[in-house]
Amino acid sequence: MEDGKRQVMAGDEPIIICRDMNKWFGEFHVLRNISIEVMPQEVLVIIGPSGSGKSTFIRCINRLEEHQDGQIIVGGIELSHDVQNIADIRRDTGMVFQQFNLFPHLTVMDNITLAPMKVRHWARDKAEQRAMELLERIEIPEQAFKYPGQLSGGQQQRVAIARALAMEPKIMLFDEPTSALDPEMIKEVLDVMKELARTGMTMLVVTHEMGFAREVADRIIFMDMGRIVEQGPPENFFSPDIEHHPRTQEFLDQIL
Amino acid sequence: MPAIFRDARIIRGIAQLIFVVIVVIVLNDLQTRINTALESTNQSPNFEFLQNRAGFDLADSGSYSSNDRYIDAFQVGFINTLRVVLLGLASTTVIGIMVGIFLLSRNFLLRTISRVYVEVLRNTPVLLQIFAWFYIALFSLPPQQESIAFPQEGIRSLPLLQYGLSLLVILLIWQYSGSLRRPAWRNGLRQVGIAVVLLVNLLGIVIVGAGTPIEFRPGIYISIKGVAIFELIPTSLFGIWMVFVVIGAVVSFAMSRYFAFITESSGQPIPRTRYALAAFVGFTLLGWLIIGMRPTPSQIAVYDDDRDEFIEMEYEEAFESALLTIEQELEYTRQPLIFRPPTLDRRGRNIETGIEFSPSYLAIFLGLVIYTSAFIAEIVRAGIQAVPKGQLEASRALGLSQGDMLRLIILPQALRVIIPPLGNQFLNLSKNSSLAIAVAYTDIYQVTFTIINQSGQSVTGIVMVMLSYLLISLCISLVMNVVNQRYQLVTR
Repeated sequence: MEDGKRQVMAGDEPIIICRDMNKWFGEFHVLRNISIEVMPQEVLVIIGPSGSGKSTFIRCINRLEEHQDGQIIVGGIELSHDVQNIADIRRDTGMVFQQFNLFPHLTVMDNITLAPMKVRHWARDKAEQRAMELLERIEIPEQAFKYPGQLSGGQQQRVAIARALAMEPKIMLFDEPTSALDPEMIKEVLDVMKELARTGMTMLVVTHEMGFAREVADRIIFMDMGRIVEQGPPENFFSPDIEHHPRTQEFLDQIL
Repeated sequence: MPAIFRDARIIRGIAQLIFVVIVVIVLNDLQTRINTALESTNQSPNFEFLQNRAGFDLADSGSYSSNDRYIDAFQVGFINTLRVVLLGLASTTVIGIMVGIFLLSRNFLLRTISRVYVEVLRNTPVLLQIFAWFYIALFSLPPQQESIAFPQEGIRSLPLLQYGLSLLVILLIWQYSGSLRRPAWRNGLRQVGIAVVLLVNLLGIVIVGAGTPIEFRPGIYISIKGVAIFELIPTSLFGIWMVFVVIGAVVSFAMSRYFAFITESSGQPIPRTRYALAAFVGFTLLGWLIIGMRPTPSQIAVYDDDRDEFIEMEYEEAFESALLTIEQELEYTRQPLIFRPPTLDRRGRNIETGIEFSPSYLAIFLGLVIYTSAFIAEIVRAGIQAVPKGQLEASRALGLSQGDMLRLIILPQALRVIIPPLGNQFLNLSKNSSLAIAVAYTDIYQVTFTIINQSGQSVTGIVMVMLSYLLISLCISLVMNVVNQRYQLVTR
C-alpha cells in the first residue's frame, strides 16, 4: 500500500488486535497480558472499578500511552516507535476525553475544522461544510461561532465528539465521556453516542453508565487490577442467572 | 428604606468624598510649602533655565559639549536611557525565552545549567550584578592597544561565493527532502546530500587549490575602554539597492498571502514562509549583484601624501593602496554598503570610526538584561506549563504534528499567561535603568541630577525625570495591553 496514504481498513478482519499487551507505570503493573480483538462496527464497553486500567488500555490504542510489551495492531498497522505508523493510526482514530479538552482559544467551528485542514489537508470550505453537518447532527448549529467557554458541559462534550468525527475516523475511543457532566447533561451526550453506534462506528467506550452499556454494547469487558476478568454480550453480563467470576459479581452487586 | 446612615450606597459615597477632601488639602498644603521655600531662595520652578549653558561634560554623549544648553544635556540623558531600555528589552526577551524553554528541556545538563542560571541571577541584587559586570570590564580586559579582536586578525577564508553556493545546494536538498514522507528517506537524503557537498568542497580545495582566500578584517574590538563594533555606511548605490529590497519584501509578502489563499481554498499544504523568505533573500542578493556591475571610473584623482599633491590613478589601484577618501569610496564603490572597522584616532586614544559602547553602558546593559532574563525565563516556563496536559493529548489524538501543536495550541494559550507578567518585567527593566548612576553611565537620571545640582531647579528637574519615565512606561504598557487583548479568552 502507498506509504502515508494507508488507511485503517474496515472489513471482516478484526480492526484492533491486542496480543499479550503489558504496561507498567514505574513499578506498578497497570496492564497485564491484555489480549483482545475488536471487529469493525463493534461497540465495546469497558467497565471496572477505578484504577483497573480501563482508561490506560484505550489510551494505548492511539499511543497516548506507550505499551511496553506485546503487540497492538490497529487496522493492519502495528503500533511501534515508528512515528509514521503512529500518525497513520491517530488520523483514523478519534478520541473523546472526560474533560472534553476543547481548545479554549478557538471557536467551536475552528475546533472542529483545525485537524481536517492541518492533518487531512482539506480546503477550508470543505472542512467548514463538514463541521456544519456535524453541528446539525449534534443539534447545536447555532453555537458554531461561540467559544467553548460559552457552552454548557454537555454541549462542550458534544462538540468534542463532533471534533473527533470531523476527521472521519474508523474507530472512536471514549474515555469516560459523561463522568464530568451534570446528570441532566449526560443524556444528551449518550444520545449522540447511541446515534453514532447505530451508524456502524467501531467504538470503545470506558464508562460507568450501565444503562448505556446494556442498551448499546455488543460486548462488555470487565477489567480489574489490569486484567480482563470477564467479557460477554450485555444480556449475559447483566443476567443474574449466569455464573460470574467472583470479582465481577462483587462489582455488579455494588452497582446494580 | 434603611435609615440614611445605614444605607450602604450613601456610606460608600461619603467615605469617598472624605478621602478626596483629605488628598486635596494635603496636596494644596504641600504646594504652598514648596513654593514659599523656593521663593525664599529665589528659585521658583520654571522651564526657562533649560536654555542656559550647561557647562559640564558628559560621557557617552555624541556631539554634545559643555557649551550646549541644559536641555541638550537632558536630551543626551533621555537618548542614553532609551539606548539601554530598547536594546535591553529586545535582548532580555530573546535570552529569557531561550532559557525558559531550556528549563523544560529533557536534556539533564541543559535543564540544570539553566536552573542554576535562573536561581543565581534572580536571588542576587541587580545593583550587585551591575557592579560585577562593571568590574569584570575594568579588571579583566586588556588595554585598548591590545584589544581582543573578533574575528582575529589574519583569519582567512575561502571565497564567500563558494560558501554561499554550498549553502544554497544544502538548502535545496533540505527543502526537497522535506516532501518525502518516510523519515528514513528524508534523513538519509539530507545526510548524504550534506556529505556530498562537503566532499566536493574538500576535493575542490585539494585538487584546485583554495582559490583566492579572503582575509577577514576584525569587526569587533573588546578592551578596557569598552566594545567597539564596525559601521556599515550606505553609499551612493544604497538607494538603488533599497529598491530591490523593497520589491523583495513586497513580492515575498504577496507570495505568502497567495500561498495562504491556495492552502485555504484547496487544502494543499505549502511551506509559504520558506518560499517568501527565499524570494526576499533572492531579490536582495540579485540587487547586490546587479549594482556590482556598475563600471568604476578608470582614472581617479587621489591625494598623494608623499608628494603632497593630487595624482591621477587607476581606481582599483587606488582602492587597494587605500588612498581613496571616504567620500570618494562612497561615491564610486560598487557596493550598497561599506564596511568600516573600528579605528583609533592618531593619538591612539579615542575611536574615530565605528560604534562604541563604553564599559558603563555595557555594565548597566548586561546587568539589566541578564538579571531580567532570569525572571522572564521563569515566566515563560510557567506559561508553557500552565497549558493543561489535556490540550496536548487532544492535539495528539487528532494527529496534529509537533510543529502545529506548538504553534496553534500551546503557544496561543501560553502567551495568554505569559504576557501580563512579561509586561511587568519590561517595566521593571526600564525603571531599573536608573541604576546607571552606580556605574556613572549618563542616563536621564544622572544627567538631571547634575542639572539640578548646577541650577537648583530641583522641582522642575524631578518632574521632567518623572514624566520621562512615565512616558517610557506608558508606551510599554500600551504595547503590552494591545498584545494582551489579542490573546484573551472569551468565556461566558
